[in-house]
Amino acid sequence: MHKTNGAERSLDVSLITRVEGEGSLHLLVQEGKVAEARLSIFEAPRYFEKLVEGRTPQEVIDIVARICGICPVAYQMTAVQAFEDCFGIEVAPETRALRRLMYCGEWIESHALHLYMLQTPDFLGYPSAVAMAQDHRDLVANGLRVKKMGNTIIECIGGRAIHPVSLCVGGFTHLPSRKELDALRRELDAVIPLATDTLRWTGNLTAPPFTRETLFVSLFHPHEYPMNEGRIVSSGSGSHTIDLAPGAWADAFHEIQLEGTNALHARTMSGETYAVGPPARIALCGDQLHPEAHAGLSETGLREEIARNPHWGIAARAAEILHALCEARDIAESYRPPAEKAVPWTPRAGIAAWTTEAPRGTLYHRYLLDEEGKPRHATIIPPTSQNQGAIEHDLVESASGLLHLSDEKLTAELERLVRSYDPCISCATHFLAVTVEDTPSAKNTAPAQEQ
Amino acid sequence: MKEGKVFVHTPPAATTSPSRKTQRTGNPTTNQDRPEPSTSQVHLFLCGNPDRGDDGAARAVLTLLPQMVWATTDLHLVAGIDPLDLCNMAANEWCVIADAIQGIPAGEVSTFSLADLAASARSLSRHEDIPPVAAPLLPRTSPHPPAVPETPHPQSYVPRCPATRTSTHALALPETLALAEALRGTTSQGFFVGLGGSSFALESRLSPPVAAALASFARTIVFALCCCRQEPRQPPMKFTTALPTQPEHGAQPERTVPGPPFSQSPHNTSPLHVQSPAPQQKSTEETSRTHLNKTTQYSAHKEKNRKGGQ
Repeated sequence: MHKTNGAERSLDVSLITRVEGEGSLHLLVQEGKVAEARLSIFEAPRYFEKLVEGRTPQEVIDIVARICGICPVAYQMTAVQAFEDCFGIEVAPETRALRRLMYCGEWIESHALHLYMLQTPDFLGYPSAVAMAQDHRDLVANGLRVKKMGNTIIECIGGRAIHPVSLCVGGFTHLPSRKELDALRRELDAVIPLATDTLRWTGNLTAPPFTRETLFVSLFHPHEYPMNEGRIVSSGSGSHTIDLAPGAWADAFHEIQLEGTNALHARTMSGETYAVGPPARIALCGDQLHPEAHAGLSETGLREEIARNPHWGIAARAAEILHALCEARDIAESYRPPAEKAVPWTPRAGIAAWTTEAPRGTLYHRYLLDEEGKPRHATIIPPTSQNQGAIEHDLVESASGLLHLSDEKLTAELERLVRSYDPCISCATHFLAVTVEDTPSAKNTAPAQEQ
Repeated sequence: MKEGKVFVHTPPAATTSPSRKTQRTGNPTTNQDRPEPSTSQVHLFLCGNPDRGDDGAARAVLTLLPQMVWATTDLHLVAGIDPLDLCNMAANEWCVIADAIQGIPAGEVSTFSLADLAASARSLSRHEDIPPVAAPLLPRTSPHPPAVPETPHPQSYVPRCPATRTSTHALALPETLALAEALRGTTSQGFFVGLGGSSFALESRLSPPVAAALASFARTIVFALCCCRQEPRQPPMKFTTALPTQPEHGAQPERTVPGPPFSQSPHNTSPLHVQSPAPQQKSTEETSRTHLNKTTQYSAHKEKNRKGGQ
């Protein structure tokens, strides 16, 4: 249905497709200008921060994994390192490498799902991966193999591909054998060429001509591409540049509650929106990419474009898939089991806070622990809540240049923009219903976001 | 709740070529990659998580399957169907997929054509509502009462096509079938046998109605496998006779339903024939368990490793 009321035009996408979760989009146009764009998350609150209160550290690690079926490792990895930081635990270098390998697996499977199944249909003009597979069998088949590789890595280290169970405070409860990692390495050798081809292929795509300036935030590590460790940094220059320890996220950012959405929005202390995720990491840490991924990305000539145009997140993910595969291969090749599965530890009261790089961006956990190491209070800031402000900002910017389009085409373009961020709301749906309705006055629309 | 994947292969059987083993180890995704197809091969995928209550029904039915199934079927124990599982099948191979499902009464068994399920996913555009798939090719069965008369399937009983509503955590079956069809260039032939579950919580026990329906579930799986082996491979569109019951130890085989014989199976009797054990032989169930012990070593090893990590 398409209706306008005088100078106003209101566009509602009640359920955005091909994203992880249930969200809607509302766009209000007044006097030929986009007055408001709102990405609303109406999925019910899940209360995980309350669920972990009073639980042991190991229970917390298992519980937070259930926040997401795509990126459970990210939640586990952030929680376990928060506890270890608070308890003064230092894990062996071999354990550190094994954790990085596990995280590589998650990056691979998460990025592969989004790149091949969710975002590529936009670039090739198909409504779904199923429809796209009719004409691009090899591409989809390769995508499935790459994704499976990521799942295989997680399963090898974590015991199972989804919601793995081996991670614990101090190390792992189970270690893979040299033989298992040799087998993993052989599989990686076979899959890496597929990811190389995919990265090269993204250089031949054409993205919508949209550019914008945004503040990027990610971890930064001087010697490696950020995953489990590093400092929280931002783009920009001068006194506004952020540079914080991984547990000090709250020193520079805060969350706000907005009307009409069940997800909190994160802002800088000065109220700015910002973006996290693969484009942010490429922009801030691109030089730390594995040499093969770095060369592949350079070949595409898209590194600068990734920072300007969110649609080129597809190239950022392709580069990170290749990076993760190559690093996983290197770790598997040089693997030596740690002397002990997990170092012994003693709980203590204090603040356990840490930040890691989930596939979709910076993930922050903070726990106020009692003397038994059990959380009295918990705060979990997922990447999507940090990206929401940037998404809405981009929607306003992008829609302003697309108002000449029909509602259907405008909806498709805006959905595509939202998808380019790979928002992970939680369990996803693939259903879309678009309504365009009369809006008598601006007063009846949702209020503008707080700043 | 689809998690890790474990493949279990039957011991080499008369109808299984030596190359079958190696075929499963790779990830061939195109017709050119696949080995020479075996004209008699039928795959049975038992899906589910035994630690998730009724989701373990398909695993639990394993010991109820007769020897014939072990001898003539490539068996796969998996958490959920992956498109690559289907892509690894040769074009002329059929399969039966069994899993616990929601949306039908607990303990009911429903059977659907894989082609119909795939078509239901293909036919959807983004704005359409979800239509029901075709009526089941086999009757729904329930232990209470033992057999439900064949009736048109109410839409609410039909597994919902997930083309527009699925989780992106994993593809649901119709989407998986449609995707595999697109990748293989041919439709996956066979049947889906679903057993209605009621509890999918973290527990290793089946709910009473599901436990009571396991024998019926097993019989329907066997029947679906038999339909896959018919020549020509046409599933019976009408089937009103009650399904046979599992023979008790030492009992004579039942042949309650006539049907075309196996064309390639060494057990060249009825599609629903369950071979009775010879007096000095082990019972069917015992034999099956022996096979299970032999063939699930890898599975058990993996499971042990997993448990060890918990």
